[in-house]
Amino acid sequence: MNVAESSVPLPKEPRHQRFADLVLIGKPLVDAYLEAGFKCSRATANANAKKLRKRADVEAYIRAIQSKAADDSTLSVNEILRYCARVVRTPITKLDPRNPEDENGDLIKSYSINETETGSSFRIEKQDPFKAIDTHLTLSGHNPEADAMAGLVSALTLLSSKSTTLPTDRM
Amino acid sequence: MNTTDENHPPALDTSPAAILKMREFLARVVRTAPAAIKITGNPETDENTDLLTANVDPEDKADGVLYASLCKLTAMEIDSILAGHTPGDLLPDGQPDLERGALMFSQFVGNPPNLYP
Repeated sequence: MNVAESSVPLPKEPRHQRFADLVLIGKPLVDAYLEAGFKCSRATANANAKKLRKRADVEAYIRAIQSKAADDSTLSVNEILRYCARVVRTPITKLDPRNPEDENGDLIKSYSINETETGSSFRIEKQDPFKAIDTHLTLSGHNPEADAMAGLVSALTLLSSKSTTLPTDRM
Repeated sequence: MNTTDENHPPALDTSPAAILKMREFLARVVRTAPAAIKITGNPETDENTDLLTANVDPEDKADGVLYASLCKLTAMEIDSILAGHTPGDLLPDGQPDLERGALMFSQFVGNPPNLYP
C-alpha cells in the first residue's frame, strides 16, 4: 500500500512535526510548543514558538498539509454524492470491465472473465445501490433509521390524539 | 501504522499528515476502476495492486480471472468520518472522530495481497 509514501515534506525533528500538527488542529502557538514536549517557562515558550513557526521545514509542512487538504487529492462531499447517484442510476448493462477507458468502470466492484475456445464471457458485480442510497442520505444529513422512528412516533402521537384507545390486531 | 500484540490495540497515528495520507489513499480506492489494476508479473510495472482485496489468488490474478478492488462505498464512509463530513459521526465537541476513522481505516486496509511470495 502506498500510504507510507508521503508527498508532504516532514520536519526532521519529531517534536517540530508534533508542534506543527498541534498548530494545524488550532492550538495556540505557545500551547502547541509546550505540548510538543519542549520543557521551558511559558514566557520562553512564547518566544521560541514564534521562531519555530517560522522555520522553513515547519512552514513548508504546515503549508503542504493545508494546501493538499483543499486540493483534489481527497474526496469532497459533492464528489461522494455524485458517485452514489451514479451507482443508483447506472444499469449494470452499461458497465464493460474489458474496456479500461469505460467512464463507468469505477462503478464496478469486481469482475471475472472466462476465456474458452468458443469465446469469452464475463461476470460483473456492481457497487451496492442500497448502500449508496444509505451513504447519500447520511451525508445529506438524514438518518434513515432515526427518520423512520420519528415517523412512527409522529403517527402514534396523532393516532392517540384522535382516539382514546389504540387499535389492536385482535378483535 | 504501528502493530502490537492482540492484548494491546495498535497505537493509531492521527496526526494531520497521517490522516491526509489515509484520505489520499481512500480517494484512489474510489476513483480507480478495477480495469486499471494491472498485474504484469513484475512488481516494478504493476499498477494499483495496492487497491486489491486481500483474498485474491495471485495465480488467478495473473490469468485475469478475478479483479476485486477494495470496497469504494466503505472507503467513502471512512473518508467522511475522517473529514468530519457526517454530522452523526462527529465528537461531542464537533471535531471529526479521528481515532475511530483511523481504526476503521486500518481494518479496511488489513493485509494487502502478497502477489509475489
